[in-house]
Amino acid sequence: MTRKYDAIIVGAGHNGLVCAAYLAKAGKKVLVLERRHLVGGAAVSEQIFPGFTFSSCSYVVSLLRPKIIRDLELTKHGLHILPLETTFNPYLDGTYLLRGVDAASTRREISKFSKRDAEVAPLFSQAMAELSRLIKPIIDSPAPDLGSLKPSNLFELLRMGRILKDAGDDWVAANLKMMTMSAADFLSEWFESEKLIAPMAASGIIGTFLGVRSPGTAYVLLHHYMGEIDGSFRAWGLPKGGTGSISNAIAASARALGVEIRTEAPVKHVLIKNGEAKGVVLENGDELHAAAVVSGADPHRTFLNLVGEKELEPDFVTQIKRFRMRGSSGKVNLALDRLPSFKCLPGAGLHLQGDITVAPGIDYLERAYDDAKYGDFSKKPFMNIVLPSVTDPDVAPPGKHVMSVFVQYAPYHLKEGPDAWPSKREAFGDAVCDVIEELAPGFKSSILHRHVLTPWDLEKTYGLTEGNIFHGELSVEQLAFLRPAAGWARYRTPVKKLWMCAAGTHPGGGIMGTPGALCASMMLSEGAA
Amino acid sequence: MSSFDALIIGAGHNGLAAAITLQKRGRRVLVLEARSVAGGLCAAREFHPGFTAPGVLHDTFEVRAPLLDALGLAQHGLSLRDADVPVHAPTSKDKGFILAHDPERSQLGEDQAGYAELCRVADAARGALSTALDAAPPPMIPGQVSDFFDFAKLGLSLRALGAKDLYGFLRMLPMCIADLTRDHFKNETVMAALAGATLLDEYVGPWSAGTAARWLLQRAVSGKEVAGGPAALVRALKASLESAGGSVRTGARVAALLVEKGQVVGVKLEGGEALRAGLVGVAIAPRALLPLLPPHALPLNVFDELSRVRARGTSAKVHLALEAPIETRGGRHERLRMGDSLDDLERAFDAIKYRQLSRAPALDVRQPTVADLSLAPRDKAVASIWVNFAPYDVDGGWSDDRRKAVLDAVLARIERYDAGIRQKVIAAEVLDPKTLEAEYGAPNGNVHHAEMSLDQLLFMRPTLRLAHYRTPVEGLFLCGSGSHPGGGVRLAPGWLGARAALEGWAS
Ligand SMILES: Cc1cc2nc3c(=O)[nH]c(=O)nc-3n(C[C@H](O)[C@H](O)[C@H](O)COP(=O)(O)OP(=O)(O)OC[C@H]3O[C@@H](n4cnc5c(N)ncnc54)[C@H](O)[C@@H]3O)c2cc1C
Repeated sequence: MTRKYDAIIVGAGHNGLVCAAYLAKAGKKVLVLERRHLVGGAAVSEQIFPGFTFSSCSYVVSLLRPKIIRDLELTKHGLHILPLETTFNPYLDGTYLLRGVDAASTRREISKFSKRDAEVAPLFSQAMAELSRLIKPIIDSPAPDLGSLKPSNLFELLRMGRILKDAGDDWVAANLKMMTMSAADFLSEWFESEKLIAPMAASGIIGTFLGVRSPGTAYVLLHHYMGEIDGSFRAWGLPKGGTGSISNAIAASARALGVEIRTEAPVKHVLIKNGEAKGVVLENGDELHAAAVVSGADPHRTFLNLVGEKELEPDFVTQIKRFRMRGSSGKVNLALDRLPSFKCLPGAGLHLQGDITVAPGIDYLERAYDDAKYGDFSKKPFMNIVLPSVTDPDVAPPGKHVMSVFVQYAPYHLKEGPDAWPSKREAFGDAVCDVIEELAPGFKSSILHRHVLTPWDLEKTYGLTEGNIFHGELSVEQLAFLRPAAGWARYRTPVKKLWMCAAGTHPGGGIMGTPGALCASMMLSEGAA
Repeated sequence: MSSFDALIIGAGHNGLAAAITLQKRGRRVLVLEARSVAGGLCAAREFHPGFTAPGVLHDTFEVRAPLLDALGLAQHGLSLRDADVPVHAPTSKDKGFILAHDPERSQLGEDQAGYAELCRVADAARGALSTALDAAPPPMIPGQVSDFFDFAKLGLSLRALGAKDLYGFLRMLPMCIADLTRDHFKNETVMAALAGATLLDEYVGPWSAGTAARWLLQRAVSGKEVAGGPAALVRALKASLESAGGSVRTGARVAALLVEKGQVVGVKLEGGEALRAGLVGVAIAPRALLPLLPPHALPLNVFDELSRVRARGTSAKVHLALEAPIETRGGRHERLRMGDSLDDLERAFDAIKYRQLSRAPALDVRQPTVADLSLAPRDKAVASIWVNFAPYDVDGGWSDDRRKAVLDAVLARIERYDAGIRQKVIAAEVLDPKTLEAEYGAPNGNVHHAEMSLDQLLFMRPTLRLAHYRTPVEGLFLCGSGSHPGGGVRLAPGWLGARAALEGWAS
């Protein structure tokens, strides 16, 4: 019999770490077990090539809750977020749009394509900020349980109802429109220039298996206006040292609070006796016991692998199997000899410091989606590029650069099956580099190293089922009280004393920390650990 | 001065339903119709000498039985058929499938049980959905005590589902029909047959979110069809209106609405004639209201909302005069849906995003002559076909060549299941969205007057501020498909619109 813990957390993703830290803060004895050699899950920094540090998966941060940063004193533990201010959109016809340098220049830039849009843009941002205020209280608290008549539940529903009632018909209607409309349609109600609509609409498809013309994508847009750094809306940042430094800061905070973290300790399964979690069994056969077990892995992995179907009701198993993972994105990490020079705006400049979005038209984006629907990677993909070494020189040798390219679409389910990915990996990487080369001639000759992550790799290396970056699609039917399964959206599971704390629970994916924090607070309020 | 209390613009089925509702409550009503016949999209159409299409819209299963009574249609010769007409989904290799409303009457092979389970959850919510669809839309946010009761009623009928089905149902609502059918079925043809029901004149493919709701809502109100189809329905509506003392004037196109001091006082016809009345119902597309109104008649926010209503025409209608009905390996059927797989349907949709015609369109076919021999000469047949997709704004514009391309694509599709189709064709006509707009006033060719996407349903149809039929102009109200519960042959928008108008503008 080994030492007994109050809680064992499976997986040191940032959510698992946040959950651990909050439990430890409340005096609990917590052990975190991570299968890889480092903590962070999809928020890691890795020296894939000597001298070059990459945020291998996630690369920018905006949703991390300020309350968590304060509660866990992450700044003290080394978190430092550098602003990412500009958005640069190069087009294939040699024009470009550069926003975010300052208000006046943004206005001038948009006016190049439409005077009207330039006028409307600030109003639009304000409207989005207002709308996200309406959603925020819902995101910051556990999902209500519609099936229960407990007074506390009814009270929560009522409270949310009040928020909506106070906002008034217009705002609620706008919100409903966002939930149901496509990003392209929604933006077309505001703007006329496709040069602006296309890159904006693109933020509605990140991480989804949807196109900019698919209903429901307008809602994802809103997520991008919800980001806040120290309270200011609509701000994206670049963690110094890569996104791994966020996980490292949380881990440091957790350790300081007494959490024990073990890496290279893959859990084989959850130990269950009479429908109750008792601990875990490691791949090496070790048994560890705890009063509660918390899974920081995704719902498929948690229930279909770590728990096992035989411990669960068939109905619940069906629900979990129907919970859609199907990853749609890939990542290309590049070590560069020099900065790229774009045909439309040659040389270095502010435009290379921020986010570079390759979304040159609605039809372009939609065709990229069409390829994926029928089981192919996009021949001409949508890309979100950052060059962290421009603002954070430590991540590359002097004069050299790292480039992070987030790519859509790369469907996990290729028409030949997911296992065809290793043989297509380089062709996929080539498609990405070809488009960049078209926009920035000479780019390819600057590549020193290339590291291509397909959804298949995301599954194998990072443990993300089907390569889904959010532990399950963020489509409306998989949100709130339906995430990950009806009746099980409040971090509990059908297995007693087994909890869930990662992106597959409300409010979902992204470097946010909320699932981990809410899970811990539910556990504590119910005396579970 | 004419002697009418109310004028209705447009003698489509909803305009007629509104007129009957008002006339029966003692208002003297005149319906103004621009075309030479009443009935709008439901009017019979002799597209080739001796061959008649049952109406541009050809299905009547969404007409609600209680409304037929309320509008006095049974007394005027209207009857319902014994059962719903099942849909045949042919394949190119075997007898194909039969998709009936009732799972028991369906023949779906290994998907029989899956369909039964899907229908069980859908039908558990039927009470709640049909309550929502038979009445005026609930307010978005309950404001008054009475609203709370309406909400509570809806809520209670939903709660009756039990927690498990309630969640199952709520999960279905925002889904796409492709995911929903893949959850329940194994056979792609069956999936496509069910998904095909959600495509008509929408800007969606089976992978578009919201299509599951479209199916659920359709299922909740569907039942037996009208004997004789849409044309018979129009005849009964007209007879009922006339026997109550109302009338229809054809060839009367409204050129302007007359508004004085925020109140509608009548209309002006093309040609200059003015007709006065204190109530005017708009059974044409909501957006068509804008050019008829004098400047500044509507508050800016209403104007703004109305000008944003989305109505993209995406379907074409083909009528075939045939030597004999389409016959597949599964035999002769009154209704057929053709599309081999979800991907097949989705590819058809892909085309319109780039303003192209679908190369292999999905078809929703009705062969009225299988049941009603009067529509064609002896031993001959008529096929009435909705073609998905054909965009209003097709690249290069609509022309005879384009229409011929549509017909070819349709015949090529049918040929997969009936090799002899081309030899059977005596004559054909293609109604593209542009033509539907020109002849029937369907905005951009959209026969629903406004897309039935989730953001344009219920208290958002056609817009937030116009969802309760009465407009800010006193006496002016909406009563067409652009209002809740929407398009298809339903009658409810006309009936509910007229009832809202009768309640008056006081509140
Ligand atoms: C390519 C990519 C790009 C992204 N870009 C961004 C971005 O720019 N901004 C943003 O906000 N979000 C981004 N995301 C999403 C975001 O990174 C994730 O949603 C988030 O990091 C998930 O955190 P988590 O803690 O919930 O889960 P994870 O980070 O997935 O953590 C789960 C952990 O559990 C471990 N584990 C699994 N099974 C076991 C086991 N049996 N035993 C022990 N350990 C186990 C895994 O190894 C992993 O460490 C991106 C994701 C990807 C993949």
